[in-house]
Amino acid sequence: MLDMQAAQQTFFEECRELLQQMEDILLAFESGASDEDMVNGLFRAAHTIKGSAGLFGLGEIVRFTHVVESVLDRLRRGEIAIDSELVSLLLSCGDQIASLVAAAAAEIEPDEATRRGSNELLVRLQAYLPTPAGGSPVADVAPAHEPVSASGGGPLGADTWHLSLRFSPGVLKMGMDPIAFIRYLGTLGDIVHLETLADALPAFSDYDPEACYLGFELDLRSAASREEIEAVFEFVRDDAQIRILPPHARVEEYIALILELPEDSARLGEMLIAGGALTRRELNGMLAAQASEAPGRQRLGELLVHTGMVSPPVVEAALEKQKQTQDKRQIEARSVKVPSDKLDLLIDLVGELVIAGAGTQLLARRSHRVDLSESAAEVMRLVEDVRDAALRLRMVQIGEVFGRFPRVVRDLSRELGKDIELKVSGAETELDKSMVERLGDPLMHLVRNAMDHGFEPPDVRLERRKPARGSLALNACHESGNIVIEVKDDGCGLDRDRILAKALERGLVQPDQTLSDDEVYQLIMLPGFSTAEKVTNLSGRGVGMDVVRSGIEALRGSIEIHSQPGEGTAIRLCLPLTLAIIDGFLIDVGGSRFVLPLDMVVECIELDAGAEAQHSDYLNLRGEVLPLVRLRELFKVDAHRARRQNVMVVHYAGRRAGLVVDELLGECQTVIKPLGVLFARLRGISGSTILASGEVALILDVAALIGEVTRLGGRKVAAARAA
Amino acid sequence: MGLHLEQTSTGSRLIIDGEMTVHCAWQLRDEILALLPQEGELSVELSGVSEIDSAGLQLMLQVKRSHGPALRFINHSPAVLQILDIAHLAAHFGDPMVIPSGERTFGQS
Repeated sequence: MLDMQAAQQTFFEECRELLQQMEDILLAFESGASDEDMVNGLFRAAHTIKGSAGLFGLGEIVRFTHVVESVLDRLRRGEIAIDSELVSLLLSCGDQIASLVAAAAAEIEPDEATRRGSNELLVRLQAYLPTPAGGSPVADVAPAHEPVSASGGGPLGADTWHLSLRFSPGVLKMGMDPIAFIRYLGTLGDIVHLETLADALPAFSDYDPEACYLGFELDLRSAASREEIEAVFEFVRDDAQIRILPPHARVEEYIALILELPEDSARLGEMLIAGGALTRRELNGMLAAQASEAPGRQRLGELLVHTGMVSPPVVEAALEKQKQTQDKRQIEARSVKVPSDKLDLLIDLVGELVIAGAGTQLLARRSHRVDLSESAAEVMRLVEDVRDAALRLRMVQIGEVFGRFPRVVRDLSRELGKDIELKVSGAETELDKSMVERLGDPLMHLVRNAMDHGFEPPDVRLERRKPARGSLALNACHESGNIVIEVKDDGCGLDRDRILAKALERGLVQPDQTLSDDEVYQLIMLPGFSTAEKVTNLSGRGVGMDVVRSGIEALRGSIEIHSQPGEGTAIRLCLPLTLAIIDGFLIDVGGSRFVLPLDMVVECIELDAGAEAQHSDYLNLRGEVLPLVRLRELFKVDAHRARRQNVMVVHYAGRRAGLVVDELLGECQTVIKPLGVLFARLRGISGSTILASGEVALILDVAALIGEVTRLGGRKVAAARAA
Repeated sequence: MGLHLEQTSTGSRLIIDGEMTVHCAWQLRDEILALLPQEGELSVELSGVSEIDSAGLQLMLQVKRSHGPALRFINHSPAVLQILDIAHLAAHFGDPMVIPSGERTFGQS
């Protein structure tokens, strides 16, 4: 099925990609890189956008892009040189095309401001063109919606259509390839016969290699309707000769076709015979009849009207209108926009289903009926698939957020007079859609902050034996069921002493407090905290980092700050991947059930009796110090102590700890139920869940537990050092 | 795209590399016109053609027409084979072609 509207959606997507590509290349130019491929890439992107826009009759985009393309063409031929001014202009042009595309996608006419923007840019572009082009540069590309003259009724059955195609000479220059149309037709049915006509090709020395001289006669066996076949040529047919004869067309129609086409009638007749559309006898008979009835011209005209090849305009208009509504309906069916709360409801329900399914499975197992257990297991497997599929509906690539930063970094480095290069990696990492939307602001603050405060001016950098050009890295990756996003610069690093001094001054810490580096760095996340000597229009007001912290905490994430004076700062955001359902590991402490997110579990070991007797806070795990968290003590569980204790080794953000528990009950699927407001400030617990048996279990907040134990540990070490 | 002419024992060989598309049609036309020998056996090597569109196809038709039967296209690359297949022009050129099995995507004779 061919649907121009669907193709148009693809075009919009493609446009965005191409524009991004152009922007990347332009930014690369600005950072000093330059080679022929890049110029060609730019030209190709503009050319493709123009061509496809022409294909969809988006005249405004064609008009604008054509001029951009002409400038790029001169650039490609070395007639003009690229400089930063041109790069800036082309970047603005890219933005302009993007807004035109956006307007087209929303099916609205570009507003007055956009039009004015186009015109201003066009005027500036003219400076790069040889002479102000006489008249409209794209007068030959007119968006038109004139349907091809129809012959007779609709499809008469799944049979052979005859198509005569004579493309206009300009079709190649408009970025469309006749061969591509034929290839496309091939998707509608079988091309039973095809003849390429090169008769119009002039002699070698005086032909224009960019013009199209080819014609095609082809027979298509297809069940497609006339509309579908016509839609293939929708945007070339106004200046191309496209004739479509339906299956079982009357012989007169073929004759009319033959007479109408520029090539020799006898030759065309042969072709139709070869294609099986006509028999030789029919052809001869008709040609003879035609010749005998003079004057032929007039007769032909009558024939055309008679067979309906020239439809009255009213009918055409009605058909066109009908077709548009039909197209509209089809596109609506193709992609469905769903409000995200409906999706959330679905995920909630799937969560309930997982719990209920687990309950059923448990009952089935208890019944000791093999067939029932098997069936329950199968249902459970499907439920899990449904869960995964439901969650995947919300997953998008983080590149969507990262994509805007190259431009931000470029514009900011200009504004700040610093030379900073952005490196992005892991843009394909996926995470929940709702998180992507909420990550934009925190990341923007981090990037701006790093650029404003993080980097020394170029001369200072050289003094410190660093490359004059600063490097800012944006990385994303999955790490133990979390997504980790890192904003890393190779600038001056955080000034521990100054932060501490500022904090003392503001009474945020007491003079006798000993703080670890990490704790000091975390201070910059406090509201209103700024060490900046001057407030710039970018940052320094002490608002940014606070926004980052609240933004990330709202997503149940955490922030780590690593910094080396003189070497740079890395800010790592750890965020949970999913918001609703996790694979958990069920444990028991004195009869209370707890759930750990499974992907944070590294291993389970038995706590040996010797270590237990010492009641040590640490465990020697293969030569490594592993801090222990005794859940029994932490949660003050009074119940009888189990004979044997186990240690769950968990990790989070590169740190490990051991949780001492009584019993290991195995894996389970868990739907996170948030705790009520009353428990909002409870540390170490992130939520609750209902087990298959109907019991309630608490979900441990491993991040907080590890934070707790390493903080306590740090204190102790610091205290020991102080003593 | 690149173009060069070699002399072989049986005649000349024109080697076309890269794309034969509308993007470089003028350049190709000019270079081919400049390089094309007036007479003698000529084979045009197409194994390096990565991409070809209607403009490239027209160039092939032009070259063939201007040089006549003394010209052969050889070692068609997959892109060339495909377009000849679609345009149904293999018979027109009449050159022996190696069609990889299972690669036939389109059309029938």
